[in-house]
Amino acid sequence: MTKADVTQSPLFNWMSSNHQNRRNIKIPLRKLFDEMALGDKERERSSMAFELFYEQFKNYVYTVCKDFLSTRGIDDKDHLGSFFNNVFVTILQKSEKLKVPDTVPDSEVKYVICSIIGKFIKFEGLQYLRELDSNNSVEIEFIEVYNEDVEENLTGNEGESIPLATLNKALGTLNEQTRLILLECFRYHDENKNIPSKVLDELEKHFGKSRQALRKIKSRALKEIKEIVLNSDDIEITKKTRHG
Amino acid sequence: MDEFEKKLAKSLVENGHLIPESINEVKMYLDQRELEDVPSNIELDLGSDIERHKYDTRKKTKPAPKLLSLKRPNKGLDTLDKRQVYFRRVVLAGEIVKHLHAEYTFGHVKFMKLMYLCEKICEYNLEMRYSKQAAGPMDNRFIHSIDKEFKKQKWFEVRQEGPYNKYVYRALPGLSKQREYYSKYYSDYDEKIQWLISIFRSNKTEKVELIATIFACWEELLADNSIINDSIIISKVYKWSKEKKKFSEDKIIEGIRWMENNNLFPR
Repeated sequence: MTKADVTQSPLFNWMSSNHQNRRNIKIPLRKLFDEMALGDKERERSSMAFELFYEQFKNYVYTVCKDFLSTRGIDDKDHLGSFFNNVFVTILQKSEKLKVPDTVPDSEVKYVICSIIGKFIKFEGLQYLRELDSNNSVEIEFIEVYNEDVEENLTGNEGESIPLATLNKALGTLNEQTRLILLECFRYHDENKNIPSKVLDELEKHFGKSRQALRKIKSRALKEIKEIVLNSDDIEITKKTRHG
Repeated sequence: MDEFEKKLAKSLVENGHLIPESINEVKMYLDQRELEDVPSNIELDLGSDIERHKYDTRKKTKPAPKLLSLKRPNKGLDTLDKRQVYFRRVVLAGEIVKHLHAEYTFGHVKFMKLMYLCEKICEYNLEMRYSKQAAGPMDNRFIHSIDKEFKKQKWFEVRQEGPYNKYVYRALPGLSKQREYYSKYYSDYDEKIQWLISIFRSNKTEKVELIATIFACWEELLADNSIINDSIIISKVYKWSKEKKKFSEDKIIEGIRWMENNNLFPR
């Protein structure tokens, strides 16, 4: 969005438009991105669409942003506020590229939107970390939300981490259920790396599997990932470099 | 957890893999995680400059939150010193945690709102401790000291678990002492307190938040000798914080009727 477009944007006009009139406009959830992208062609509708989007998903965005920062031990309310703001700004700016496919049933639309939001939070979160690391404000071009390459442009290989390409490759070999179980285990483990029993209860219910079965799936998944990581070329290069 | 697992955990965090992206991940996340309300101090920047915010690493000072005006005097607590009042509040907090700590929806926000309502039942003046926060009345000093006090009294072990630092309480053998103190201090109010705890046991935090906020607004109107009716309470709730827009007028009226029917309102 260029500077000239800014004053015509739904965000700019959001508060200035007549609230009473906007109440009469009804926009289905699946059409929110389309309507937000209308911009000055249909200013009232695009403002309303953005307002609806914000009201509907602000708590989700806030919670995921907060979790993203807290997993890194960051508890800075100003940064969280900027992070939250930036996610919405970027979504608005990219709304014309976003779409909920017509084939998605109504009951699933909100999950699809949350999944799209997740990609933006990831982008913004990694952008944030890079800004902090480099201690300057070099902006990264948002290449394409759905393009997996985005991640590779945003993250580098740090210290003891597994190179991103290798990690993606390893996770990609797991089936959906196994990957979900593994990620849930890492998402909720405590400082002793145990999974709280309430989380295990939920996993049991969700997947219809016993705790023992869940542990087996996790352990098998770890084994598979380890094998791929240890045999990967990226690791070889790292090893060689370290040993001169 | 072996070295490889630690390395994998670190990599998953660093690369944002724990952000729910697929639809199934989103569903599981929403199952497991109670969404937090956006605090009132976080707002979208709606000026003409809609560019991304830069991340400012400078320290900023914040204005102190506005204190609630609770003018009514203590009843029966006049003779107690601050430490004694504090201890009685710890005992009450212990009662809430004892009954609700195993509930998945139980966190600090729900805890504080229930504490507020229970203290109102007991007609505590609360020493002007509660301040206006987006999610309703909140006593920050108390909530930050209570976990240490629980540990000191050997009533609960408190841990923050998971990457989201969720507060998890585990009962300790010393909890039997809490029961004794509770019977001593709260026998007159026990029936109402137990009712309140049970009614909100499985309710979402939002319901407790609404009732606590209506209570505080209603009480302010009483303190100011204002006329009190549904529309005045509704308007006061909306003025509390922009966050309160999430409650429709019908929802607020429903809350007021519920409070009247259950005899839970300020006098």
